[in-house]
Amino acid sequence: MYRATLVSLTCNVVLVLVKSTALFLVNSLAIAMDLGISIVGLAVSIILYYSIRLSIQPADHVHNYGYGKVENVCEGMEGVVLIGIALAMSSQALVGMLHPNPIRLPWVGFGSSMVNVLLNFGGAYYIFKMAAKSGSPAIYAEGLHFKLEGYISGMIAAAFVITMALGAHGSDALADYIDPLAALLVSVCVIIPSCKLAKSSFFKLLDATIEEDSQMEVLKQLNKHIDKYCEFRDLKTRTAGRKKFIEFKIIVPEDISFKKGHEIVSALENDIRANIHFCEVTIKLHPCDKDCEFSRREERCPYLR
Amino acid sequence: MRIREQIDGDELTMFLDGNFDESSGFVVEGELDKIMSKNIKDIILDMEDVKYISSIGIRVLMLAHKKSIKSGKKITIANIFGKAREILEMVGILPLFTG
Repeated sequence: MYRATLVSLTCNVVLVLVKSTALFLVNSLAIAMDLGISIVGLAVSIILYYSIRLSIQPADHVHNYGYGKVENVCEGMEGVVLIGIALAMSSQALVGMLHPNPIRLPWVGFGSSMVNVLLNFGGAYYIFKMAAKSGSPAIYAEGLHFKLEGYISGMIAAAFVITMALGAHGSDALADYIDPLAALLVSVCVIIPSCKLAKSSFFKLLDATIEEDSQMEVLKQLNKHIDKYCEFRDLKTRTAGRKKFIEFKIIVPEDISFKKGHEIVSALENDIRANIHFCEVTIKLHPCDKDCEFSRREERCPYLR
Repeated sequence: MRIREQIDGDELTMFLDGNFDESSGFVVEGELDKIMSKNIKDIILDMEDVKYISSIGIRVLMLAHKKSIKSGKKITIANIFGKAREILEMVGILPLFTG
């Protein structure tokens, strides 16, 4: 996981340097927006490095459930800051549409944007691999950030091609509108996924349930052992970073031995842990209240085998 | 989800129409709880018009199965096809309702 944050950090440093140089030479609003996103990315990479170190620390007396939620905080921060940048830049882009400024050296802008495309997609590919391996939502969010930046740099490169084409055809006045238009489109491209990212992280911070696939898996394992307990109740799940917490009660015959009850709980816990990675399972045993047909007919409880 | 019930002696058929998910799961659960307290021996869930079942729906079905055993009733699923059937088969609960 540290390798993913180091790759992210290195890529962001190089991207900031390339974009700063391009901005100085080209004077483009779209490149300024792209640079702003990379500066945010660099700040988030540094925060991510320390977040990962904190999130893998074991639970202690102060944080009984561990430090996993710091990754969701990181996710949320990234989403909110990107929304802020997109809104600020879109207002600048609208001003730019009203008072367009000619850009300099569009071929330099095109070249630097293509370099950015390669760096971003290359970084995203590696970081997604690391995210899949570690199950870390913060590293996954970082991969999404790089992928998004890759598409944005691609759009900016296309904008420079259009600018050069219009310039070559003598439409310099029209060409001056392409840059602020590209900046506006970039804002729209950033706002939508950033809102989704922020929303997802806030839901997890508010203890939303685990994802549907994992919920199905819990039910699958409960079904596997369905002939061992009377009922299950109060199934609750939540996430903290990459850790999933699953708890529920099972109702068993009141005459069951402690050993038998423990075997049922252990079997369920082991099967759930084997099929859902990074999870903590808490199962409480409750005795039945004998409010069933077997008790009324004085028949032997089928779960006492 | 739309729910329609048809009683024939001590057998009740509950026709479900729609997705069996977060928005409808608790409604179906409430209806099943009411039926469990009545003098009905056999409960048939006709799921011909159910296109999709989420984990909430699976949970409601498993709890209904357990409650039916507890109260000496029988609950079965009829006419389940497509994605809904695939999900029940994937979780492994279909034999509980078709045996």
